[in-house]
Amino acid sequence: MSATPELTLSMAHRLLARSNDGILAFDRDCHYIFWNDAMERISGMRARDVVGQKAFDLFPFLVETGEDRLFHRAVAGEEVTSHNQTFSVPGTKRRGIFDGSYGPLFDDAGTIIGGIGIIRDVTEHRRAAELLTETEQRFRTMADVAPVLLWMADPDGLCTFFNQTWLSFTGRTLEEEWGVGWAEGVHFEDFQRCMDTFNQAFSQRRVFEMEYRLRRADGEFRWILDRGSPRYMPDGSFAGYIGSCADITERKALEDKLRDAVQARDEFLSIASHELKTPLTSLQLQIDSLERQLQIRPEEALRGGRLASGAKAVSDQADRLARLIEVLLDVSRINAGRLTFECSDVDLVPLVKDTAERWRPDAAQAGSELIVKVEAASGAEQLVVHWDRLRLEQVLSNLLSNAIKYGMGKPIAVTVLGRDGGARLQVSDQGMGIAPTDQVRIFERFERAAASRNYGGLGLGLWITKQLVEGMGGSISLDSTPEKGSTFTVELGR
Amino acid sequence: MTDPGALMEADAHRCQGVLVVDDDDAIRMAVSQALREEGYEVATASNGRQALDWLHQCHRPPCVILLDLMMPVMDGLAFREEQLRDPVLAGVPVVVLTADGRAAQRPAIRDVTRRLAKPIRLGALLDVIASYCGPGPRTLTEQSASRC
Repeated sequence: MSATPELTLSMAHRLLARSNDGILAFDRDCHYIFWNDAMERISGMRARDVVGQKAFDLFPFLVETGEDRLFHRAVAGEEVTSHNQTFSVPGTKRRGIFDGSYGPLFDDAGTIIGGIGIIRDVTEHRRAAELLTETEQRFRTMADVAPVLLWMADPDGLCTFFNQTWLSFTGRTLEEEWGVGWAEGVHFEDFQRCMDTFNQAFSQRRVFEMEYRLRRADGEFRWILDRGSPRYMPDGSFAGYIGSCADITERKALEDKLRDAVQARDEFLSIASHELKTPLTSLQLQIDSLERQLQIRPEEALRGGRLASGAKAVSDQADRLARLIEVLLDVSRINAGRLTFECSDVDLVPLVKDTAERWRPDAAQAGSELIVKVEAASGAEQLVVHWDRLRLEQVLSNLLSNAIKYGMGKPIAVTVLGRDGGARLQVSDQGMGIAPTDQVRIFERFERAAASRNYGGLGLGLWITKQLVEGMGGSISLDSTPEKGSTFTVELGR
Repeated sequence: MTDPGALMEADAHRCQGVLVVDDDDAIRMAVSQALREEGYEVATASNGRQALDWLHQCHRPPCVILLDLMMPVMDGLAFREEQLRDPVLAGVPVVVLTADGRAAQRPAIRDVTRRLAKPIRLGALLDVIASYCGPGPRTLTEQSASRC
């Protein structure tokens, strides 16, 4: 075994020179007697300029920060420390923060001849820590004022942070939401799907997006869109997830409404196209036939009323097309709020009688007798209301056409009653009737109680009728029993 | 009667009738008038039920059925399903008249070989009818008369 080498003074100097911490020594009067390389780096001052100088003359900050007392206590034999002291070196303009550790310096006889100090420059460390605190604080502030719900999960999938917006939304504390506590607020129908999405994304470190219902503080479940994204430490290691959520309840409701509206519009376009093509088909065939007959059998076509009957058929179909287009325009006007009324004094009695007369042939064809009853109050001859005459005729026509279509060939009654401050118009059939569940629906657009599409028409008649009546300040109601018939009642103000 | 080709040929000569099934009065009138003017025999029905009743009563099926799809009581699809279930009627060719492309995609209707989209042109209608029933008898007569 070789003998342990003895540490020489020069070896001790080199040892001290290698230290990353500053090492200094001073005599009982606080004159520096040692200043290692690290102290040169920290202070920016060479040992030769420092050694022999009195510490407090050279560095006034020692007095300003009270560090001088530690020098004296070390000389008195105490071990003392200081933390986060600021320093500023006059000649070099170096400033920073240091931790100091002081103690007595003994000679070989054990007598205190001064003190030693170990100085650690913590400037960068402190700045980094402050920056981190500031960053963290800024994040919390931003998170708490953000209008979205934010959460963070650790690498095990446990949620460790919820912003104030989240906590206010759910009305729960961070402790309650912590870990998987938040999932208690998820609607049970969405829970499993939610957990599956979360866990699957988590295990694959994928960005995920999910929608679920979350219980709000007031107990109402709200639709939430939650987007989660994995986050990583600066060294690239997985740190967990961060996620943001928005309340999309209103948006979802709007989307549903929009989808319904688009569907209704498509349905309408499809029905409208079908209804327009029907008269167009016979119109086209009639014209083609006339053309063909005139071409190959001109004599015969011009004789025997062929031309006249063809022209009549063409004209009928053109009328039908015009009526359909009028209905479509009404729909468009109503939708755009551009429906206007030209009101004047209208005597209901002749209007109802004339309109009924026009529908009598159609009623007869369907096998229905049309009965008009007038019940004027106090024997008055007239029943005058201030309404739009053409629109009133349209209302009655729509109701009559409806009664004929669904009246199953049974009698149809039109009744006009004089009432205080107005009149009442009723159209009753004894046909198939309308089930109670359908009685509100039939006044809506594109609805008809009869099996969809098996009856011609746009399914707009009653909707338009209701819009017209209400537009003129009246009201319409329905009283119907399935298999017994329906009575539509229109109340008209003056 | 062992040769199916001969049967078809015999039928083509014998059977000239067309059944028009449509709920719209004006279309039924326009189609039947146009076909009668070519000399075809035409029967009409305003829904699938009426058409089936007529087919069950007639002892000689028509050479072709023109079928609308959207009709009350029994629509074209239900008619077609009933027709395919009846071995006597299943073979009668059907030409669908439709204004609705989507309805024509239903299975029982999809198998129908011919389809006429509304609005129909007379030329296309006569071509389709002629492909099943031969040229209009009246046109034929007029043509042979003019050749004499």
